[in-house]
Amino acid sequence: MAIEKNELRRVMGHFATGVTVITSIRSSGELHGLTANAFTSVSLIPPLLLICVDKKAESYPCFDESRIFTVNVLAAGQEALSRRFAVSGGDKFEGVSYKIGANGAPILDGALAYLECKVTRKIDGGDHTIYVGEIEQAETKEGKPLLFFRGGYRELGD
Amino acid sequence: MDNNLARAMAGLSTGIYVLTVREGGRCHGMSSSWVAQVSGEPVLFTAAVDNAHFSNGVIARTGAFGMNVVGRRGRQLEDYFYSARARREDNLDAIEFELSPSLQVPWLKLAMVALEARVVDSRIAGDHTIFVASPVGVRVAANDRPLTSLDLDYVYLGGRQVFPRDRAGWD
Repeated sequence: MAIEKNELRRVMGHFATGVTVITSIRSSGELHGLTANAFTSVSLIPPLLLICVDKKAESYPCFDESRIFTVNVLAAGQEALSRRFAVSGGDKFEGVSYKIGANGAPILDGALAYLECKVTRKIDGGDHTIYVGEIEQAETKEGKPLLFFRGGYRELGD
Repeated sequence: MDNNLARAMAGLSTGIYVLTVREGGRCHGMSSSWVAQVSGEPVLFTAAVDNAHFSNGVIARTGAFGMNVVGRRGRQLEDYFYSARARREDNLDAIEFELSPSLQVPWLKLAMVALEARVVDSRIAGDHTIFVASPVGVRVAANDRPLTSLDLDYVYLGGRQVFPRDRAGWD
């Protein structure tokens, strides 16, 4: 049974997710970041998570080159940051407060949590690549997360 | 697990799903939150399933599973599959379901959306297996707000590790 593409897109929009900015750094020192809601925990022992990166994304080559990334979990109220890192072109970090983490990737100020990872595996996934990362360091702070489902940003209670 | 790491992983917001399997006339469901969409063209998604869980072997053998999205009005599904009553192989005998049209996997009546999916790739990653799956059929049952991990009073971190949710700073 073939599924009509628009119907399937609508159905997949029912996946409720948090919103993250995945950051990394090239060997040249150039910083990269992209907004992603395609991520999930994978394993407890060892601690692993996965992210899915669009093969057409400007930052895509960075992940193969650096083999590291940091997942910045956005807090409620950081919708503008999400939108900034969701578009291509320009210096996305201009005017954004961040620090460089132990793995070299940026940690965004105000993020609810960050998880520093090294890539342990990549899996082809259609128009995206699945990167499995081992979590090497993580921090969190109190607050509500930003959510995304059915094509829009949400907060708890919406 | 390091406390910072546990808290950070608890901060990853997810939907709440019930993965369903069928083999030899036996039907089983498991609560899952480790699901993510992978690709738009073709549409693919992943589900990470504990290597020690009954469902893992069934999915590996049959190459198919159902993915049921739990909405707020279907919260009793999460309550049931989280409970001790559901920790048995034939645990769908207490739940209303139908079999999906193509792959004959269980679609739960109370799920707001249900997919039937064929596994296209699988990789063991630590204590779970990443199943990459392609949806072949869908049923949209009810318009509802998806239940999220943040609505639950507990946080699943894999294996038997479950922590109470800390809602400090949410107000």
